[in-house]
Amino acid sequence: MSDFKQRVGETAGPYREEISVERLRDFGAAVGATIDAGFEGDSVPTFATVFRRGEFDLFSKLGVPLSRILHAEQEYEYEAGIRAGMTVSYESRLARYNEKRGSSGALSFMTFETEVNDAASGERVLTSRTTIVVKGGME
Amino acid sequence: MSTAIEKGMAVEFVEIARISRDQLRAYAQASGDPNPIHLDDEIARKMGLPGVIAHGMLTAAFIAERGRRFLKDQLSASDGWRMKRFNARFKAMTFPDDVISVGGEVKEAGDGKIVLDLQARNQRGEVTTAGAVTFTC
Repeated sequence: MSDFKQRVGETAGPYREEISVERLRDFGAAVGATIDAGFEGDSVPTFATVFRRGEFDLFSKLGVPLSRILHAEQEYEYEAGIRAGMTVSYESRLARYNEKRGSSGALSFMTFETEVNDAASGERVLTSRTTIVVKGGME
Repeated sequence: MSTAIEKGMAVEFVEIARISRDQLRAYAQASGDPNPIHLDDEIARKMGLPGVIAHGMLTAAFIAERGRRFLKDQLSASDGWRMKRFNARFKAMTFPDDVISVGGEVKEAGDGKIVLDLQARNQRGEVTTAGAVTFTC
């Protein structure tokens, strides 16, 4: 197992972002979702994908080869929920690292966990777990 | 709380979208994803792809929306139910002109919790994305 196991726990952030109702509606239009007035945040649960700066910064820090990665899995756990007009603060960390050797070669799996909080109250809005696979491994 | 949703009930497959390059551009913009493999055929080919591919997260959004729609259609009062968990595993690529449908079944229903197992399938019947949504009230 490579050195990347030792880098589990490395973090990036925090970042702040304001969530406008326009941005939620634009996202809804792009994915064909029905937006419920007053519940715009609940109408597009996968809007959480926009809170990705931490992941991108960790890719840089870890030397993840962008041309060899695929998005393998995505998970969201919702707490307080996204609300139009709120400002969120979020931080990401490398939560898991695994290697596999298969018939098609080495594969590295990395899971990034992002905690998104209401910047005003500190309350948890959602937790995101993004798993990517690096074809050919990280070496 | 009684519901009209029962374990094992089918979530009918509904055609969601025929993927277009315009939609990929709109989604890239709205989701803040600048990755050119979704926008530029030449760059996608240089990465070993046949051409641009759809964002996996776009099909994930279709799954989330199908789950929400199912809940609203089945429950006369879907207020109070909120999505608690969402999960998607990306299994196969999606290309422009692919037609994506989403459906599945109710995995769990009761005690203020509903779990739907959902898949996005293309016109060849292949599962591109497998997911689950959990609602609680």
